[in-house]
Amino acid sequence: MKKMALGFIFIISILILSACTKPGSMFSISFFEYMDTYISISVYAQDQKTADEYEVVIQDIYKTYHELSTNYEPLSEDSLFLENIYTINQKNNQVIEIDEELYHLIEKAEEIRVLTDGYFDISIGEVVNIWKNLLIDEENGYLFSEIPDSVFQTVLEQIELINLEEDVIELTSQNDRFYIQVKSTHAQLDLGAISKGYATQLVFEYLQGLDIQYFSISAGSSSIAVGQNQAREGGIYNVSLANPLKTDSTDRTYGMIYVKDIGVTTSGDYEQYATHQNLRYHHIVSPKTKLPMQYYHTITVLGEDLGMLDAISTALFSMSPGTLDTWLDNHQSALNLEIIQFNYDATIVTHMITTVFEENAS
Amino acid sequence: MKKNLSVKNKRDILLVTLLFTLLGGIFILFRLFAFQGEAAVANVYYGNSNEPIVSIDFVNYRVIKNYDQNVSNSYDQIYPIIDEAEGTITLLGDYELSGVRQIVVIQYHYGNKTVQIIQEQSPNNICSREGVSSGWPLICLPNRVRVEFGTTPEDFTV
Repeated sequence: MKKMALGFIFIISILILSACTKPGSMFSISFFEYMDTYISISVYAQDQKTADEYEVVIQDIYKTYHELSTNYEPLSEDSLFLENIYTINQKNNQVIEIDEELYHLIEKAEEIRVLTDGYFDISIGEVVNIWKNLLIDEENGYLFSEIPDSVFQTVLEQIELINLEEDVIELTSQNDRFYIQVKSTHAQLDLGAISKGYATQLVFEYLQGLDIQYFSISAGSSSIAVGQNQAREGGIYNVSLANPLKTDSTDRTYGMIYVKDIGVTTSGDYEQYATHQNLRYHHIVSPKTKLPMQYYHTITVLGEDLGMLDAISTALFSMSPGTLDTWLDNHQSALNLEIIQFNYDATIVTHMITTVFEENAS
Repeated sequence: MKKNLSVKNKRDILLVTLLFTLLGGIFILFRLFAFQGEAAVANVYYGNSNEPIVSIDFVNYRVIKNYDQNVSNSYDQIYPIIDEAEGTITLLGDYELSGVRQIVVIQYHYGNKTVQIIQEQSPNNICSREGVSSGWPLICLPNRVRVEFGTTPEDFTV
């Protein structure tokens, strides 16, 4: 009788212990529908139903900022929003009421414009569109090809005619209503370098607000935000850095960083570019020169606010190394940013604080 | 007689207890040592080759064709066929119907880091009945196509 009782106790212990090993697990959420990006989220949840509830909120965040920030199409007729960037771009010089979400996004973009001494500027859409069309226009684009000299000269002439005005955006609010006026006859807004990161930051904050420790958000090939990694001791994620000169080979990374509870974003010239006289012309346009600059192949920025990181990596990409160093001297500590430069001459320069960067053995 | 039955019952109970203990132990070992964590890559192999013919990179969301299948000119396609829109890879298996080699269609999902054989011809269709895999290998015989999962040092590339 004693043996029988012991046997049952043993079996029950086994079942209880095995149940304790896995109270919840990681669930995957992924979608293609918003911001022309494959968004993939891995999140710890008690069960599929809970993960599904997270997905509803997360998709809604990306959907909201996709609809508000697109400059390709107006809002749908049944949209609950007042205006989006496409419609604002049709109404220069008018005072327009906008939704609070878009107001705060543009407000953030303007803060970063000031912070980066104008190297990030969402009002240079006219110039950005010219360079983007030169690259990815379905009929006349030169993506990954050599731009003929005659075409290149025509583009330079078009750009020369555009007068970029400074400080054209005026935001006001009154009685919980929000307004924008673009004080220019021709300036076009483009939130392409901030809206995805901004939305990802909101998702990051949503998951943190639920006290979820284990998660990762991959918003396209250039931006991630991670909590902690359940599968690795110390919760660390290993993040490799894409080698912009070896995108087609199997050895396509140049180094690794080890991170948790952080955002990482890279601006680079390797995913969309055309060449002219051995220089890459890409989609990151300097507000100062109206040209894509060739100081770096990639700039990777690590920090706590992915909305800010996207915009700052875009700004730093157009700064000369000297200007970038001076800017970092003034802002790196306060903003707690870490930077990895893959320079145009293929040298690598890092400005780290605590994160470990390991360059691949060559 | 009553005493004999009692002894027999005790032996039966002991046997059942041992059996449960053994099953419990196997269950715990399975939980401890089965494939855990997320795969970073799934490699598709054909025939006896140890070089993957296709690699599905779950970290960077891309499918890499490493080389073409060696097939006779009577087949008017180059295999494997990678359809990124549908998320499928199609190879020619070794199983023949009326002298024609049959296709094996593998469906992959980047977000879930999973692979499934969704179409194949074979006597028992064992590999297409295995369902969605996120870690255990899928082996299609007699088509001689297999999918094996692996890891890479990185979780993401930016």
